[in-house]
Formats: sequence, C-alpha cells, structure tokens
Amino acid sequence: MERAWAWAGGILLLMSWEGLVWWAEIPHYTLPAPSLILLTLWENLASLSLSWWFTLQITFMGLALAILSGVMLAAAFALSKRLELALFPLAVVLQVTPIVAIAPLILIYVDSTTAALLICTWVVGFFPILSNTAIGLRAADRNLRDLFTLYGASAWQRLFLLRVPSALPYFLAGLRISGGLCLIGAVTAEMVAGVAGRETGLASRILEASYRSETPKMFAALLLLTLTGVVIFVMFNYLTRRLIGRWHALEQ
Amino acid sequence: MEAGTQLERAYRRTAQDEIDDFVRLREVSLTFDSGTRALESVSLTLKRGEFVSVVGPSGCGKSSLLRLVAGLTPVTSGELKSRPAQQQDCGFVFQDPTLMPWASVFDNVWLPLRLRGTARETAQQKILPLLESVGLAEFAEALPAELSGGMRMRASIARALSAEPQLLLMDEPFAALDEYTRQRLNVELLQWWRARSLGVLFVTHSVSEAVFLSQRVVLMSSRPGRVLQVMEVPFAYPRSRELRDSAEFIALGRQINAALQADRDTGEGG
Repeated sequence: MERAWAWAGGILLLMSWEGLVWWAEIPHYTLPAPSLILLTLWENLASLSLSWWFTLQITFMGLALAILSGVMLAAAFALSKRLELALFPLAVVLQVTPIVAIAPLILIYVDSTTAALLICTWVVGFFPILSNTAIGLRAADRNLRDLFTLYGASAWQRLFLLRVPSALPYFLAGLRISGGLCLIGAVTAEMVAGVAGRETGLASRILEASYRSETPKMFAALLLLTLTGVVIFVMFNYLTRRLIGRWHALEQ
Repeated sequence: MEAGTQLERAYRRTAQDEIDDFVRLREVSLTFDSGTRALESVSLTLKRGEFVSVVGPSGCGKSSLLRLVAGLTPVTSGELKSRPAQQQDCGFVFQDPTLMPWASVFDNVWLPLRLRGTARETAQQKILPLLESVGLAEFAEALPAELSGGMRMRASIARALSAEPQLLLMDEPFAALDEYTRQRLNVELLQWWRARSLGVLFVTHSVSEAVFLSQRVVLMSSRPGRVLQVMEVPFAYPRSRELRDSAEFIALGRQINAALQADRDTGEGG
C-alpha cells in the first residue's frame, strides 16, 4: 500500500512534467519532456551503456578497495588502541576534505586516469566502512565479553564468535552509505578529470552533452546514474535484511 | 550488638569447614580506579552445593561481589579463594539475559561448551535434554528476539548450566520479569539446583526472593558494601509457592527488612 503511494507520486510528477513541457512549449534544450529523455536514452543506448559499464566498474572496484582497506584497518584498530589514536585523525582529515578539491592533485600524481578515478572513489567510500566497522568491533556487549573471559575463550574465538557478529550490523550500515558515496566519487572524479575518449564513464557523456547543449542526452545519462544509485541502495538494503534482518528487525 | 554475635557465629568454623571451603572471602575490600569504595572488609563463605543469597540496597556492591568470586575483577585487599574461578568452572547469569542476538537458542546454550572445544553433535546430547528441562525444547532454533522475557532468562540459565559448573553466580536474574514469571522461575530454579551438585550465589534486592530460595541470606549495607548480618533460613526443601504465605516466612522477611532499614537509618543519621 505504501509502495503504491510512492508509485502514484512518481507517476503524477512525471505526467505533470510532460504536460508542462507540452503546454508551455518549453524548448527541449531547456527542459526536455520525460518521453524525449527516454527516446534519447534508447537512441544512444550503445554509447551510454558502454559509459555506464565503465562508471559501474570504477564504482564497484573503488567500493571493493574501500571495503578491503576499511575492514583491515578497523581490525588493526581493534587490536591496537595506539594505532587507532595515531591513524584515525588522518582518516577523518581524508574524509572531511571535499573530494572535488583533492581530485586534481591525485590526477597530477597518478599517471593512469583510471587509477586516479579509482583512488578518488576509494577516498570517498573508505571512511564510513572504517569508522563503522571500528565502532562495531568494539560494540560487543560488556556482559558477553565477560562471559567469554569466564569460559577462557581464545583470541580467535572472541574475534569470530563475538566481535565479528557484533560488528556486522555496523559494517552493513557503513556499506550502505559507502555504496552510494562510491558512485558519487566515481562521477565527481571523472567530472574533474574531464577525460575524453572511449574508455570513459557517464560523467564524460554528461560533460560532452553539456558542451553541445544536448540537454536531453544529459538527462538520459543522469537517468542512468540515478537508476544505478537506486539499484545500489536497494541491493545493499536487501543484503542487510538477508544477513541480519531477522534478529535486527525483531530487536527494535 | 546482636548483629555482632551472629557475625561471630558465622566466622567460627571447625577445621573440617576449612577443607570444605569452596568460596571464601576474608576481609575483602574492593576500590575502583575512580576511587569509589565498592566493598569493605567483606567476609563470606560458601560451601559446595550451598544456595546463598545476598540482599542489600542497590549500589551496595552486590554485583561487584559476584564479579570478584567469578575472577573477573581482582580484589583490592583481603583474601579471596574461589575454587570454581580457579578452575574456570563458574556459570554466570546476568540481570539482562545477555544472549547473542544473532545466534539461535541452541547456539547460545552451546557457547560455554563450544568455547571449550565441544563439537555441535557431541554437545547436542547434553543441550537438548537441558532445553527440555527448562521448557525450551521447541525453541531450540528460535532467535532470542523471538522469545518472551521469561523464556530468554530460561535460555540464559540453561547456558550457564550447560557446562555443568560447580558454582552458579546470579546477578538479580529475575529483576526485570513480572511477579508471576519471577515466582515461577524461583520454584523451577530450586528444582534445577537440587537436581545438581551446584553452589549458587544469588544476588537480589528482593528480600522475599532471597528467603524463598536460599539456605543462608547475607545482608549487606549500602556504599561501601559491608556484611551486616548472615541469616540462616530454616525451611526445608522442596519449597513450594505456598511457603510465601506462611507466618514463619513472613516473620523472617520482616526481620531482614528491619535489619536493612536499621542500617539505612543509622547511615542517614550519620
């Protein structure tokens, strides 16, 4: 029922948009009608889908790097409080500096554009994973920790039977944030890089279209990005529900 | 004065008692890093298989006392001997059931055995009858969140019993339950205790619960926790719910309440 309302709202919005464009005779280079956007998407599907695939690869490779490094560093933090004290502020600095501002530097230092894009994506996606996992690994219930001590649990048993399961909800919350952020990172970095050529993503298509005032094509690329973002969000929500939904939802 | 003589009686022991000492605290004090004195000069003994309750106002260091006996906290001064802690043979039941929310009832109850290297199949032979005895046989695969508060506490107690400990330490385990469930679990706890050779040190702030359950009741004063008095509870086991209505039961409860109240009054006066 709630979902029906969301659909109704979306359809109503699209219909008024379409109607407004026809009724006020807005030129398509100012605001294209939804029908024209879909048509443009269909006509440019070959080139747009190649670019979409490129952006998707950067996003998920960046996310994979963020997960790997974030989890490993969080585990190291969990083992050594000193390491956390030494490195966590650096991670915060990396996080609070806008990616648009760092991207030009990274592009100077790294020869391969693809590598530079990956680094930018990683920078954006890494922090939520790190900080959430680090908190999660310390979040085990105090009494449960005492219980493990009482029964003489080994460090490994403590890690895999207590700390990792306790950290899982935190990690997944971080993952849901990072998934969306990595897409933003991948697009932003490419915007800054302003790369052209075959091996480029949706950001380059948007830039090209904007130089040529092909507004419908900009909207078509934007539509693909939005859909990708939504799919990533839905995917990680589903994953979260599958992994911890049963005990988590019930607890609330 | 009367309190003094009873204390002396509690201390006066024969050589045989020394050997039987299972848990013994002599002049034990505990001061936290923050400087708060939690316990002061607490002396207490628990014999093998004995059921002893500790009552006192909240913040009297009752929980700290359990943690000391479990070996989770070191004493600041005094002498503590806890054979079960040395042999890592204590079960602990917290006020909160403290179950792992991601694990089934079975896996939660399996935990103590699992940490000692017992495989799931081997553990099953012990755990399934245990779940049966605490009335959770049908809920082995349920998650803690799917159980009622009383059932969660049963699971928590089953976990503590699964490794067949010599000593069960219970920290106000029934405080969060409704009165009906609480009284029912009191009766059942006594059955579980009597079916095993198990010492129980039971912390509660309910005087009637302490009297109903235990062989001896240790009265503690508020901050820092000191032992005011040790009362013997004369009622024979098995004890049923009707015991609570008997004149002797009520009289003993009143006597304990009066002693606790007297301490509170002197504390406020000073």
